[in-house]
This record gives sequence, C-alpha cells and structure tokens, in this order.
Amino acid sequence: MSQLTLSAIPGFFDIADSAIAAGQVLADSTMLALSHNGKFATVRGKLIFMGFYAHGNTVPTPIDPDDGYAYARTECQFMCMIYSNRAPAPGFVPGQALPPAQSSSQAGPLYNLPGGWAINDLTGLVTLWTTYYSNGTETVNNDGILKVYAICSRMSLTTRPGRAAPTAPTPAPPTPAPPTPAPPAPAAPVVGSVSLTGQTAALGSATSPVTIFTVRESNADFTLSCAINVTAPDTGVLNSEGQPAEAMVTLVYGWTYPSPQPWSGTISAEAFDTPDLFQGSNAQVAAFGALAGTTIWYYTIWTVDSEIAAESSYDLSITLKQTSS
Amino acid sequence: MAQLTLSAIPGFFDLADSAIAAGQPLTDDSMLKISHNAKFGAVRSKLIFMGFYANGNTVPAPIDPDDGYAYSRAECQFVWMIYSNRSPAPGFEAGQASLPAQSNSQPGTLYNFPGGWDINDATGVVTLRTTYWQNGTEVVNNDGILKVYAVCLRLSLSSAN
Repeated sequence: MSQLTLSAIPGFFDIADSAIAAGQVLADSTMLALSHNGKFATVRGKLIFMGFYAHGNTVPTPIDPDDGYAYARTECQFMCMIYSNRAPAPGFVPGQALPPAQSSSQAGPLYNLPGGWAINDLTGLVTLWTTYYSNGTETVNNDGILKVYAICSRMSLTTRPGRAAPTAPTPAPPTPAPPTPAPPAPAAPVVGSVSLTGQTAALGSATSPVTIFTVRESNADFTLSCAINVTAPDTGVLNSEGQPAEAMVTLVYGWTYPSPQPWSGTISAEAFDTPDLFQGSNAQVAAFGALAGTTIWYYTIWTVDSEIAAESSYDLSITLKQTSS
Repeated sequence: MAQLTLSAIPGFFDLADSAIAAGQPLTDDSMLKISHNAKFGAVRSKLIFMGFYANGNTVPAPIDPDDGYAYSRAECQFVWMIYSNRSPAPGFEAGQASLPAQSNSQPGTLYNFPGGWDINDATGVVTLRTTYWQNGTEVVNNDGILKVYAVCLRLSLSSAN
C-alpha cells in the first residue's frame, strides 16, 4: 500500500445548490469547487501518531503526509494511552516513536494514578501527577509516560466542547407552590480583578504569567470568572492564503501550588472573530480550592492575521472571589 | 484557523454510475447529488470534545459546529481517557471543558481500578466503579473522572451498547 499524495492542499467551498440549477451555466469554477470538495473530504479527518511523551513535554502539531498541510493547534485534539506509571529512563527523547525504556524503580505502591493526567489541546503541554503510598506516607511526583495520537480535523475549532443536541421535551410537571425565598447569601469578596479593553498584544506568557492573587497564610476556596471578546473589522478580508482573515484570543488562567509538589491547574477560554463570517465570545466560571501560598495567574495568546491586525483588538475581564477561608 | 461553515446540512445520495455515463445528459439533479455527496464526505465523521464527566453523569449527543447538525445517540460512540481515579472536588460541573480539580484524598491504595468503567453509548450514562484497599478491607465507591470525546458518524447505527 502506498501513501496518498496530493500535489496541492485542497480547499473547501460551500457551493450553493442554486449555482448548479437547471438553466444555469455550469462554470469551471463550480467544477473546480466540486473537485476540491471531494479531495478535502478525503483528507479532512486524520489520526496521526505523535510518539511518546512525559510530564512537561509539549506535543507539537503535525504535518499531514498526504499533502504537507500544517495543522493549527485549534485543529488538533490529542488522545493518549497510559504507557507506564513510571518516569522514562535516561535517554528518553520527547516524541520518540519507539517504546521508551522506563525507570527501574518507583517510590512505592501506586496510590493516585492518574491524578489529573491530561494534554492541553490548546498548548500541547503534557501534565502528569502520580502518587505512591509507602510506610504510611503519600509520595507525590510527575511520573508517567503517554503514547499520544493527534486527531486532526481541518478547518475546525475543535478545542472547545461541543454543544449538546436538544433532548426530547418532557411533559411539564404540575406547577409547584411558590417557594419561600431563601435569605440572600452574603456576597463573596472580590480579591482580584482584571478589566482590559482594546488589547492588541499577548499578555504574559506560559513562563511568565500575570499574577492576579496570591493566597496568604491559610487555605481558601475561590470562584474565578472570565469573559473575553474579540473585535475585528466588519468587512470581509482575505489573508495571504486566500482564506478569510481572522483574529482569535485564548485566555489561559490557573493556579500554581507551591507544595508538597509544584503543580499547576489551567483553564482556558477562547474568543474569535472572522469578518463577515462568524464571531464568538466566551465566558467561564471555575471553582477551586487553593492552599496557602498558591499563586493565581493568567496569560493570553493573541493570534491575528496581519491583514486585519491594525484594526483588531480584544477585551478581557477576570474576577476572582474568595468564597471561604 | 477558521471554522468550516456550511449554510445547510448536506445529504447523501447513492448516485448510480449509469446516471453519469457517456451519452447521457448530465442533469442538474446529478450535479447537485455530486455536490452534496462531496460536502457530506467532508462532514460525515467527526471527533467532538465533550468535556469531563464523573459517575452518574450523562454525556449528551453533540451538535456539529460545521452545519448545526444534531447527532442522534445512534450516531455517537464515546471514547475517553482516565483523567483521575479520584472523585472531582466541589464545584465540578458535568461536561466542563476545563481541567477539574480532584478530591484531595482517597480511602486507601488502589485495588480494583478501573473496576468496570463505561459510558453507555445508547444513553450516555457514565458508570465508574473503583475500589481501594484500606486496613485489610476492600472499600468500593464510584470515584473517577473521565475526559470524553464523541466519535460521530452521520447516517450510522453505530451504538455499541
């Protein structure tokens, strides 16, 4: 069996049925669009082996062997299988294709495994948390090895969750008696907030995030809400690849525990705007507990086609409330 | 990168080869069917991220972002990765997209894990069973968190159970 090979990367065209109606001229542009759609359908979805990875590694985006198409992060979702609970042996190279040798020892019998194992589809970052139990003590580290595949879908913003299909309606229950209003809950104090408009550059970075709040001497619970929105020019503009120009911002926020083992949890939200096609904003709320000394932070990833960069911007707001102490 | 957007949900037509044979008039009907089949080919199969789930949650059938197609349960199969053996921390919402915090403790060392973990494709119900070994006794509960994707295939009766 040989490798499918295309001489050019096919596009997709949403041909209107009216363009191929009786009495219409069948144009070469319509036939070309039909041809491209057939090719696009052939190569759109793909499972690509990415190799073996450990904690802290970053899984890159793949290049399609069919036509050399370089996938964007938003077109990739990473599926993984647990290869080992142990750390790799010396000589391991992230992404190596061969099954790696594993460490010859571990800290004790397995306890919490996996303890929050995930690959961040937005960044490709691998995060592993594993604990062992020995002599009455839980030992925490980042052991583990994953075998990773990228599931790719061209022209997809796949890293946001799918909307649920509507379910069949159920008969309405009898109208209940009006409930007694509950006493108003005390408002949780705001301990940190960010409100920025008209941003045109990334804020912070994965290695140098912007600190919102540092938990002081005692543990506490928090809710963190965010909203982001992108503004781009209203008129249709094409980028250098002939595709509609677009702007997208990704907000990553999270918290870093100082002990017993450094650990970060992250949450991401993204908003986008493509002139004349579609736009979206995003708002999310997260609740979490944090140990004393935990740092709560954020950074943004700003991606915009140069053709609309001068006229595009994004707004960002974050509110952090402490719900208990 | 943009999201593919179709103005209408395409159908599929099993176009007979004889309909486009030499000597036959190429009708708009055949051309429309070819066009729809190509579009259908582009959107037929899909992997859609559904979020994080725990025992007793129900994973819904998704809507396709390409054209708004609402998948039926029979067209969805759920694949998942084990995110944690522990239960979620307070504040967890079924289907949340962000990484959930996990409970900060468990009853003992892992014993039977996973002990029959499944998502019923016909209903979307998540069933997790986990056991721990504590002081010479097996402790059984429903701990666990899954990261779930829907593998969708239009016009398929693909439900596994």
